[in-house]
Amino acid sequence: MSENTAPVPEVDVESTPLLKVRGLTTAFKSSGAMTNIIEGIDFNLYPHETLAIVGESGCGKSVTSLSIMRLIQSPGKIVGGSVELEGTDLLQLSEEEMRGVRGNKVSMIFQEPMTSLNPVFTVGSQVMESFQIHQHLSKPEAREKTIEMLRLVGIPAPETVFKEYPHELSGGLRQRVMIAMALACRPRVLIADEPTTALDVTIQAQILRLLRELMDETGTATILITHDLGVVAQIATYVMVMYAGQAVEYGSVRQIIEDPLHPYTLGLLQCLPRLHEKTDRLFTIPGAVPSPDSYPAGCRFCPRCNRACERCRDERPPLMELPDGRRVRCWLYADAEGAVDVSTAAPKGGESA
Amino acid sequence: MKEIVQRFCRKRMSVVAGVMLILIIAACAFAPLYVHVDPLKQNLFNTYARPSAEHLLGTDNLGRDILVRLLYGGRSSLAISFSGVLSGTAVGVILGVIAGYFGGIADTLISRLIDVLLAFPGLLLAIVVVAILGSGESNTVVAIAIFSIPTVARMVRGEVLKIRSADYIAVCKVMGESSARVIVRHVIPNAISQIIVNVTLQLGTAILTTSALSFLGLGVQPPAPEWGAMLSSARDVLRSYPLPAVVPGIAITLVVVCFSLVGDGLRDALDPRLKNA
Repeated sequence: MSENTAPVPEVDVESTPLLKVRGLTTAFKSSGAMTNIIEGIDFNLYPHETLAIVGESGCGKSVTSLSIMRLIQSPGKIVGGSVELEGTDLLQLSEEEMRGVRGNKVSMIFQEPMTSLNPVFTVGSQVMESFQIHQHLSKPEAREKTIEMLRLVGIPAPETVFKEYPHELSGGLRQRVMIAMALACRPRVLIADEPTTALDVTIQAQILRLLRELMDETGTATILITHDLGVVAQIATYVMVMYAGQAVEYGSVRQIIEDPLHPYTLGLLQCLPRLHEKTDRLFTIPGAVPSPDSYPAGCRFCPRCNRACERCRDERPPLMELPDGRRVRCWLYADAEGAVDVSTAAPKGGESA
Repeated sequence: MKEIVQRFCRKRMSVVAGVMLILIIAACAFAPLYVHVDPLKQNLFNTYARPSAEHLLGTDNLGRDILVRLLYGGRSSLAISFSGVLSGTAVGVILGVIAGYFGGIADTLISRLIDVLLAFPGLLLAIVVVAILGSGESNTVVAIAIFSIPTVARMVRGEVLKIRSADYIAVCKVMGESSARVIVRHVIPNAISQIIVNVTLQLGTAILTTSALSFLGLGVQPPAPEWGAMLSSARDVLRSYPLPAVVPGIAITLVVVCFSLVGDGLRDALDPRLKNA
């Protein structure tokens, strides 16, 4: 846990965020009606920063990332909000213009390195594609750049790997290839959707270290989607905790890990096994995430919350910003000194540490 | 690639069938180069001749050399089947890809069309097409093509549906590739082995259909040589002198069986489930 006590990189509050997401709302059509799967997602992402989006399965993490990429497939639809990348709202671009953004300015890596490469082509030809599409390089140039990229992500003997087929590589190597592919065009923002979940623990650490080094080197900002709080502690700068399609807590990694406010965040942290504590049973949060068409009237976490009160059952808590810059969606903090309702107002940028 | 050849070679029967097919196809295709007898040349003084040095397989009812007609007949049977199946496959692949990749209304329309075409027994469908368009070689090609479209289209649609949901297709989209590029670069190459197997298996059926159409007088018209047509003209004397009927009969059977064995072998060799990951 020494990683998370390292000073948070200095962020100039005045500098413009790379990625500004405001009120992002995506709905899916189910039995005729549109149901919001994610609702009013707000965050800013600055260069070199890593924002971790945390939550259990079905809370809308992946829908958030796919919405940013505008890859929500029917019957899903982005119904509101804006995703500004360096001042351009991605949601207003034409499909053609958006293709120029994907893989070029915003890139993504997926959870499953085993199936994320096309089995019938060599690794090299697949990495080369991004250079050919976005930078219109000739084959020999693209080849050279690809080998350079493969070397950058720490693949030994890149010339050999270039000619190999995906099934000849191990999971760790494949994930490195995926990272090479995603970072080929030096994107401004990298979305990593559970990049280490399918890997061995030892390889996980290597991949995380690699991601972090590459981020420092290229200035790429990262959105890390994960449910692994260990990973969060290792490389995140800020954390957004999601529950049932909403952000329930947002703050710096130190704030979240050391002093979680929302009962859900607290619950998530308590679920982690601890090295020096002897317990027979691990803590679990009772129940499961409600399905989007059966959200409770009040707070969505209320039925599973051990600190729920009358108000939680009947009224929806707004997202509140506290004086130290963190945000939380819980009635427990509604009366805290200096708490401001920010659920409708545009949120301010991430605070400096 | 080497692996695939090795796996194919493990199946003896398929290899034998493949070699035989190549020999038969080559013998037929290059017939004009080494056979200098006109397959249409009649000799009414030498009908139903027994096999001899001059006529290795004897002569038919009009005194034409059966072996020469067999080779030239194979040329047209094979040419019609190949062009029919290949053009049918091309159309079928396009329809299948559109249905599978884009889904929605296009899928519904194409799938229903396929259902309608599949509802007819294959030969009947071919007969209907020829009945509408008229008989003749080029119309037989069209009939064979239409006859092979539904099977190919349905198979490709299924493959594309499977491939479309693969992670690497999502990766391609994330990398900013256009649908056209994804289809050409990633979807079709992954379906190609299935398509090849299907083409091989369809070729056998197509040979049968071509011959059947000609046998019924709807395909290649006499006096042009064609296996089905040869069979048809020899059937009158089947009891007294079966050789002119037996020879094209054996040729048809042999080619159909060979195509089907090669198809089986290819399927096993190309089956992605057997590929060691």
